[in-house]
Amino acid sequence: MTYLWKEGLEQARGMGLWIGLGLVMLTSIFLIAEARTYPSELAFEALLLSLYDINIYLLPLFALFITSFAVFQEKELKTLMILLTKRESHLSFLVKKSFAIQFVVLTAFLLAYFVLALFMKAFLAFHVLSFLKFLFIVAIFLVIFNQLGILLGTVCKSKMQLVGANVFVWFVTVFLLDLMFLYFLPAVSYDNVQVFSWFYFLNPIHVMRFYLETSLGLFSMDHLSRLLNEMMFMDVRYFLLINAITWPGLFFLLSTKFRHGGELRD
Amino acid sequence: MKQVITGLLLAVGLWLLPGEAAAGGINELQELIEETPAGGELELENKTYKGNVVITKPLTVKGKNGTKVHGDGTGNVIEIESPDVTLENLEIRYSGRSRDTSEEFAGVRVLDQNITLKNLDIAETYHGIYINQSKHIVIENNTIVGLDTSSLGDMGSGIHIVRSGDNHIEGNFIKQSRDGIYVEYSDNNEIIENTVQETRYGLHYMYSNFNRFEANKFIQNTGGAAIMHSDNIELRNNSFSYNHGSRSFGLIIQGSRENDVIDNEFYLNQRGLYLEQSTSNMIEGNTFFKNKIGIEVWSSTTSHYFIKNSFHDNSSDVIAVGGKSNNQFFKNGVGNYWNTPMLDLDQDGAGDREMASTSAISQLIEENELVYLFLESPAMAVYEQLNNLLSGQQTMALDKYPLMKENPSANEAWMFGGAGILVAGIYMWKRRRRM
Repeated sequence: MTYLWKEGLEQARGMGLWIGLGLVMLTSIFLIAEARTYPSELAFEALLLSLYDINIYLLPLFALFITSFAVFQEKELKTLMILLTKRESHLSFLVKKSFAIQFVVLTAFLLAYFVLALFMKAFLAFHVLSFLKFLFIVAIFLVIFNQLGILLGTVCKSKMQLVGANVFVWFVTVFLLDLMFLYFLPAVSYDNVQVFSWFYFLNPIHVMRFYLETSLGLFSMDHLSRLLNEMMFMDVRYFLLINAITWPGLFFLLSTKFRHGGELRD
Repeated sequence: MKQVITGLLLAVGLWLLPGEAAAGGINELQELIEETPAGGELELENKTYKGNVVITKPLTVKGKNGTKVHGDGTGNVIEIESPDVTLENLEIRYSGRSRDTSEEFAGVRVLDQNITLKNLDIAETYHGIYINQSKHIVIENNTIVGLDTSSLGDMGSGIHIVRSGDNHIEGNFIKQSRDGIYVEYSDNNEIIENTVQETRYGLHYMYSNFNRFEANKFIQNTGGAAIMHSDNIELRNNSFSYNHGSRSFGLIIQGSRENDVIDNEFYLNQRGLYLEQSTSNMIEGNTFFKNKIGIEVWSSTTSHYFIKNSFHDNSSDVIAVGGKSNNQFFKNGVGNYWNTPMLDLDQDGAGDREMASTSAISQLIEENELVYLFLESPAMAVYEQLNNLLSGQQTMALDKYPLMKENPSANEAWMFGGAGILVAGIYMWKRRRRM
């Protein structure tokens, strides 16, 4: 509870979270304005997908920066050292810190989306179930990238290193991985498409978009081609579950493994 | 003894009679139809009648709210074998679904001409309405819901028209069938203001010429409309939206020529317009908005004109696949609206420089269909830029007279205001907290 309160205060007093929330809300408002011109039948669902597409750029960046700096500051301000010498093990610190960061960041962004829901409800045919599915995806998205940020904050030894690492990771996940996929695509055939499927859907950005598209009725799974049918050998919800568990778990384990990164031992 | 023999004969006789007769006479609706004189009007009550009836004389059959005709699941619910028949206000259910029969069954099967079908509510049937070798059929304001099974073969069409011309189909709502409206070897039909959703193809023309379809809405189908091997068709003011799937499109024109695609809207489709093996179609005044690909043109498509079309926010406006062909994106000094910043210093309404829509993904599309999974990816812009730098870009469309935007929209000024207030509010709140 102390960690939660402390994290909440620190984030509220800092600029990062507010800038993140402000930008997400600002871009979302423009998209809501645009969605009013969509054909009415699925305008709300199409808006949610557009929001997701813009979130691909914004949420990883803010999640990485906010969470990695939250952890790094514990090292920089020596509060980590005080905590570890008094009553915490590094593992218990990471567990509590992760929980506190996840809770605060998730609450802040989800609340922002509830505020945006007022705009959506005012100007579009609002569908609660579709909105909840969107929030569910945003939550998983944040959990994964928050935990990745915590790992980076734990590992990096200086602020410059941390900024570089955040930008690099953001660029790799958002741009570079897909760019590699594009160059490898000609090699994908019916015989190896299931391997491709694993790589494709283990990218949380892809699996969450695909889940949103299909569950919101914006992508039909009827009459798939033979190749795509083979690619969809497993329900996308299972892939989503695997992503939601595997990545945060892996990043947490790596944080415990590389816990001495940047820690001052004088 | 005599009584026993009489009783036995009676029992055997009853057993030999058809079930319904034994249960209380022949089909009531069929009986009413037979009793109504030719050219007469039969008003049905607010109740359920047994179906599988055949109409063999000119007649008007009108139902009330709640008049139902239910087939027994073995044949057509209502078969019309006479000209000048009208059916109105009926709820029709349960045709045969078996495909192991000499014909495909329907809620209403029409085999003669001058038939009117109005305000029918049809569901649980293989085909909704089946028209074969007829003329002058009016189909208005009907609701047809298909079987929505997982197997395409188990579903029929909403309205299935074979070798029938001069029909008028207006104001119908069709969903969850194989094809919404299927037209085969049928010319001069008008298809107006229908809404078709959640089907394979909303509208499917095969070998049908001189048809007109106008102001229809095709939503959430695998393919909005498919025009195949059909010529001289006019498509005007239709809306094709949310047709998304790995092979989806708003409109496909395949093996067809001399068709006019005018003033239609293609919103949020996988591919707005897909052209293949076609010649000399005119694509004019259409809006392509937020499709993954606005227009996909295969090299087997030739001599098309694309003018006055407006492209906004598509992942790719035009993709030409399979090499170059002789399609033109301008005619008589008129091009298209590309939503790209341009200068018009001579103020002739066209950009001062030609507009070349370029892309490198056509090669990828040719090689692997999975590229459609990446069209919305942020990496796609990087891929295009990289290919631009490395000269891997190909010209998809060359417009020598790109049109300037006619009326720049107000762009939701109030939304800008709202956003400004929001930012200012956060800023002020933070300041107050600091003080």
